[in-house]
Amino acid sequence: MSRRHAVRHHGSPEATPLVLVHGFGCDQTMWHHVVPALARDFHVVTFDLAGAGAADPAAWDAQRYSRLEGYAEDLVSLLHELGLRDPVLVGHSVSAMIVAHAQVMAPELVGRLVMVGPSPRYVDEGDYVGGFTAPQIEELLASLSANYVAWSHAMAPVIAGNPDRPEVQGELAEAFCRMDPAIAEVFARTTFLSDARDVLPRVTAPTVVLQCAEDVIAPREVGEYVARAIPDATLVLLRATGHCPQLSDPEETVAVLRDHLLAGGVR
Amino acid sequence: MTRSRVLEAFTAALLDDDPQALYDKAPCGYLTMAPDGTVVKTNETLRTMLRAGELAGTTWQQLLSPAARVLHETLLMPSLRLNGAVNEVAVDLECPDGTRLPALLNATAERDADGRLRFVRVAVFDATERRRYEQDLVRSAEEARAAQHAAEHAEARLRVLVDTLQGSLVPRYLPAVPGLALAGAYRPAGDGSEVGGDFYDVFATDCDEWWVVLGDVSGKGVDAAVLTALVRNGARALATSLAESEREPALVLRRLDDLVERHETERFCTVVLLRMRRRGTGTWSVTMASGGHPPLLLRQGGGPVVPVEVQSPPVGMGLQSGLDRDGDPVQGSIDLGQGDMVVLYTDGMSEVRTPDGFLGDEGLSLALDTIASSSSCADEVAGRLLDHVLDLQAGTPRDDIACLVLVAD
Repeated sequence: MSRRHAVRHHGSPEATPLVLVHGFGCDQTMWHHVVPALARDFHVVTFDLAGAGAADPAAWDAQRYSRLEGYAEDLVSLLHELGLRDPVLVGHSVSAMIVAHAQVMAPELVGRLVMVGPSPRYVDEGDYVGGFTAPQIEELLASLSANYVAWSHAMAPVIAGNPDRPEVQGELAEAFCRMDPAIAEVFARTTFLSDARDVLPRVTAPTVVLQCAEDVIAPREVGEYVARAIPDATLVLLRATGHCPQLSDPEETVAVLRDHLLAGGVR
Repeated sequence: MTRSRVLEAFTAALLDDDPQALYDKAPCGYLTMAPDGTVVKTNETLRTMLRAGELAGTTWQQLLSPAARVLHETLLMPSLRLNGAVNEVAVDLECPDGTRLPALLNATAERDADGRLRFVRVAVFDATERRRYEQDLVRSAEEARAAQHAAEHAEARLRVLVDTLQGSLVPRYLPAVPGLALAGAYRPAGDGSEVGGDFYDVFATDCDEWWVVLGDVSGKGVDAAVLTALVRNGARALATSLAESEREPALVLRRLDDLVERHETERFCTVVLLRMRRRGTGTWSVTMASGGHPPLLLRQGGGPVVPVEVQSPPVGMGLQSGLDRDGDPVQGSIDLGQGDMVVLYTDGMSEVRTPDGFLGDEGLSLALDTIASSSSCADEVAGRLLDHVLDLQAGTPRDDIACLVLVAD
């Protein structure tokens, strides 16, 4: 499993384990700007979900990964193999729901959860506000498939030649955040059409919900809904804007994780 | 161009195409924004494209369709922050008047000395026509896929039909005949997508009396299959319904001819009929008739293979009814002792090109000679004879092939 998901370890193996799970559209490089700082206090584990980044393409299966549970089962197997002690699972975006599923499937393998920009359901339904109408989601899915060129080429390794950030050069020399457009299409459907609202009340681990300011993908009402639905959850409002605080404000993201996980008495 | 005209053009460009004019009137829209999307600056081309007034102070997200906002968060910004640039992102922009502008975006990131994102520059290209064209392409590709899928489905159905039909014309399993080893071989022509006209049948008419029928209807396809079924089942019905004394191949052949003549078809059929009776001694007494069919091949007492011809006209051409009514079609007879072999085949086995010309009945007979001198097992002989004929055609028969090998135990 470790090899299949291109697992990387950062920091001391003795420290509190922190498993970072990237969301839709990228791979573990999504965590790049926060990993060095987090590795000072945590044993940070990053990996690529099936179909993303350097994950084994042979393991991809359109049927299996048309459900979030498919990804969650992978995560549970991975946790089993890694044998981490009460790890904190940090799920960004759609992976907030993947870590929720994993915690419900195997509570004994998970210490706490952190959800970054979570949304259990993107489509509005009755009183529930997901932020998107069904036609908007359909348009989004069409537009994601239309961006074939962008998905397959946009993330070419231009950064390898960036003199401003020498520390990232070698590591990022290979292509990253690149996704097979066919896989991106399936993952997009799974992400934007699934409904994980029924899982939230079954989450038994203490959970921190990080909500960005002005997040068009997961608006504040959704973050509040998630924090209400999970029995033991704390909502933290970030200053960071957008949907990716680990990119737009790495310092704040690291500080909040440290505050809540270290001071919060991670076992 | 003379030196003075170059100078003149250069001066004019300096005056009329200064950096500001180049920015404002560039052939693409320009927009600069803060990392949070606050619009800092736009050029005139962009404002014209969007039919907008001053945009500074509004947000980039306001200019994006809801779908484009998600792309902005999941593709554009991560690319810019991790990678410094992104190219050819296809989005719909929302003009202030509510209309949509299909656009292609290229964007680059401007960072400070610490690598922090300071602002983003976006170049916007009107992609209205291109988008329409791409959508047409996608639609065509989808239609082509659907058509291909339908064709594959239809072909699979057809294949099942052909197999089922063929299975009713050529038995999948031959009956166990005491004292006689039987082996059949059948191959449809080409890729087997059409039901062929070759058939054979083996059935009992009495204790120790068996009939062997093998034939070839002209042409192929469903139409031919109808006639094939008629002849095959007709032969069975005629042979089993006749009294023992009348039950002779020549008579059955003549009745078959009547049957096919009354059937509305231009097609005809060649057929060979064997009536095989086992004597108490274990040998077989065989009577036979052939309507225009290639000779059968006979090997007796371990000797050479000889073609045996008992010729009458093919069935369905009306020729037999023109014969003397008193004399039924010609009938021959042979005796089979232990180890004797009879091979029946259709012309797909013999009308095969060889490097020297045609295989023919003689060539096939020679090939059987070689095979039979080293094996008397019916299955093996049928298999090797079929391989020989297929090898001559690089594995794909040009015509249907049917063959029956009979060896007396």
